[in-house]
Amino acid sequence: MQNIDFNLPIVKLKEIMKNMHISDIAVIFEEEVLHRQLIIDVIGIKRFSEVYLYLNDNLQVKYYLKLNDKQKQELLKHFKLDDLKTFIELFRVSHHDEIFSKLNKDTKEKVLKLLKQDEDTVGSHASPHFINLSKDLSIAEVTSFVTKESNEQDEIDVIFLNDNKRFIGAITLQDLITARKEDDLNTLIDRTYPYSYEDDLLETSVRKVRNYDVLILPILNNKKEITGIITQKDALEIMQDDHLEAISGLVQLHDYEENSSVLKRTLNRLPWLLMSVFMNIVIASFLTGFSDFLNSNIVLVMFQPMILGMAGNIGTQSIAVTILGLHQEKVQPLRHIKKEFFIGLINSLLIGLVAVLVTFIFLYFSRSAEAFEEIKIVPIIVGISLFFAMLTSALVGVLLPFTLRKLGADEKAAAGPIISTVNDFVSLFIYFVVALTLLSL
Amino acid sequence: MLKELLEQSINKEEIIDFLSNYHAYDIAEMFNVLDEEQKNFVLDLLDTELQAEVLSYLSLDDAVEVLENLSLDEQKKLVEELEPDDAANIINELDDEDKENLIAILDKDEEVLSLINYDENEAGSFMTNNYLVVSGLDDVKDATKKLIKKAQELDSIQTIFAVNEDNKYLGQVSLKTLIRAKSPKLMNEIIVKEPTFYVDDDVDLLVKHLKHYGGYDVPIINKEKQLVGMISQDDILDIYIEEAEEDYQKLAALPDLDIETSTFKTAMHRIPWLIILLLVSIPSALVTSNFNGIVSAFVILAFFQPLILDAGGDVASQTLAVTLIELTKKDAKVFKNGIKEILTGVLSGLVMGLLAFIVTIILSNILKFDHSVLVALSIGLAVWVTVIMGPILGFLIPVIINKLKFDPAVASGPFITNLIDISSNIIYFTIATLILGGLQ
Repeated sequence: MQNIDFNLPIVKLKEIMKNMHISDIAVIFEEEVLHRQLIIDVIGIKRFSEVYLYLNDNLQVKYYLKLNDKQKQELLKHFKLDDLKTFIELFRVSHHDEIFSKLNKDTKEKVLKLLKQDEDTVGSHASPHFINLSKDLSIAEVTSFVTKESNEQDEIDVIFLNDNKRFIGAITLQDLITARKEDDLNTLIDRTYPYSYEDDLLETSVRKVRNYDVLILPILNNKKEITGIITQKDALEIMQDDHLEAISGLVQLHDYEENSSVLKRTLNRLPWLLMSVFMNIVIASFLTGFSDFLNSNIVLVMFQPMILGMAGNIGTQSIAVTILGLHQEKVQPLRHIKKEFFIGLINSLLIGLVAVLVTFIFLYFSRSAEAFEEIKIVPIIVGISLFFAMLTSALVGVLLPFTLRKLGADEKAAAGPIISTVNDFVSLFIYFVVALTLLSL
Repeated sequence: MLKELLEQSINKEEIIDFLSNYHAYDIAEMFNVLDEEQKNFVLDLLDTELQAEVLSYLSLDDAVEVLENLSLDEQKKLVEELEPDDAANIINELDDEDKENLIAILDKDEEVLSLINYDENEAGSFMTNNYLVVSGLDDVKDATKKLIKKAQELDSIQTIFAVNEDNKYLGQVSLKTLIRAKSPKLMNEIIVKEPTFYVDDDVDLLVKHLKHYGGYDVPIINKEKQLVGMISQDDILDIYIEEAEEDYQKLAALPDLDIETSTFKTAMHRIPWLIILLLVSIPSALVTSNFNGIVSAFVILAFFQPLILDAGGDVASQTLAVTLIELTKKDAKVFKNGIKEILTGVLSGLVMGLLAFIVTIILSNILKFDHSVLVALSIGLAVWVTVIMGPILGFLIPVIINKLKFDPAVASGPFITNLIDISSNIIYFTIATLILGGLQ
């Protein structure tokens, strides 16, 4: 990261910062607390408004609250509509009115509309900065509009065309400028251009952007009129957030933020962790019924971690594959379940067999088996228990996300501590039962 | 739909008419369910341009299969129509003999030839060299004229690149900015210098920068800083998605996922990992065997073992995920985060240990265990220490792996968890021995 000497004359600073990328300026702004006003003076309020959105959420809120009314108005003026919405959402609802009061009436109405829409649908993420023209125009008229009359914020890479307000297709800027004046616009319109509806899921639209390789995806209302767009850049950002969420979900890390304090992180994670502790102890007490049995067969305790660990591992694989598959919308439920069941079967069997060998070798060399019989029986107990425990875990891992989805819940919760705790004890229970059975024969 | 249509009537005009209503991507999707004969039939109906488009949407394996079925001449025509980086990918997957034959008959100045030589992980293999380059000293009007003249033959005109007289990269400008610029103005005045990458840079580096700088058409340069190619924004998007999925899989100890492979093959793919994890759990057994004494005396400890192992494993995975996320950022504050994670462990561990202590006491009273207070104390303390140890390992292990220049995501969730089991067991039984040992 560049180190800027802020004692240089402003003219020099302007030159240096002119060529810096916005996200780098944002980093410098975050770190150089004393020079923040100077930075704003150097790059100008317009560029600053672009930088602003790259700052971390906390700073965005804190800094905004420090500005005076005039400065606030000036800053807000330069935000694009969808960025404005994201910005407002950082604040508590009680603060929203104060921000609205700084906007002009038109902007305020539009933002309110965006805020009302459901978060997960693409409609709430769409930007209104697009070009929508009638198909009856000539090539010259369209070109003139695009180059001379469009707003600077408008995305002109794709021009959308309508027939009496209804969306019928698009023409890329590339095709537009290579067209000849005499060409008929109608022959150049791509009528197979993809689109999404306002209440489609955000994920679906992002996937369309990727699958069809389009720069801009139009969003239509139920009258088939364009109301917004999402761009390829948007798609990338959304995917980054999505990816973060998926990873966080796998380990029960909710609302993770890089800058959150130790206290915040603790408070965030404690609820789940405490629940896990509580459940663990409660279920453990149920198992104490096996106390006497275990007392006379202490050697079994040695292999508890193995049983728990392997059941957990195969369960995690199962769950992760299923969640990933559901997420990519590539899975056919029955086929997937069947496949994962067989994989679970094969792998549990193999590991069970390997475990018999491994356990035998371990016992032989460690000489902890008290009676000679134990050397023969324990490996078999471990192997059989592993087989059943792993198979159960794998099955649960496949079926659970589907069940959760059917019940309308978030399938990523399948990876949570409650499930893994229950899994653990089912595995242990199987272990003790198998041991009991085989040892009493 | 296409399949049904083909099975009913074989009228060529009807099929062509049907297909004209669909985007190339949709055609590719329909293509996937056809048998080989039908595939060849449909392909013949399409003109070369549409053929190339559909091919670019097929999976790499399918595209290779299609190309292999064509005659050498047909292959040549198709390759010339494809975007260079797509063509290079496909050609590289052909059998050596087919590959050589095809390369031999391509035009010497065919762009794809220079791309074939790059390793599939290098930036060079993803780039295209079919875009507009102008001089920094050109006037915007002239640049626009050049653009319009060449637009038909270029793959992408979204970004116009500017170089100096030695072909060194100066900057770039988006199409929409160029169109709106008014003469007299030099290109130098409207171009922006974006971060560049070298031809042999690893594609992972690109992804890291992407997260920081956002998406744009990335200029690729050689050692002399001359512009040799660019990676388009949508290719970057694809690369990003692949990387993201890989990370997720590694976190769950899954090998590369391929939805289409057979059940048996997939099972075999996952086995190596499972066996390694099995072997990693042996030291835990070793540890426990050393503490046989205390376990025999207090069988209760066996039942609370899952609690200790789970607590340690959960927090370790969380810190692992956080550390991995940090390591992928450009301005990583890895150590600062690591310290925060460990302190979080200290705090969470205290609360968790306290809860464990209280609940254990209550339960032991109900179920009438001996020495309930001391047992509860051992458990509570063990939870606390384990929850401190978890983040320490969850942080150190990926960082060390990263320093050794390996992919830190290899330290996947299950791997860390099983490693933690060993330390958790040692902590648990040692504490139990210290507190309860005197009572044996």
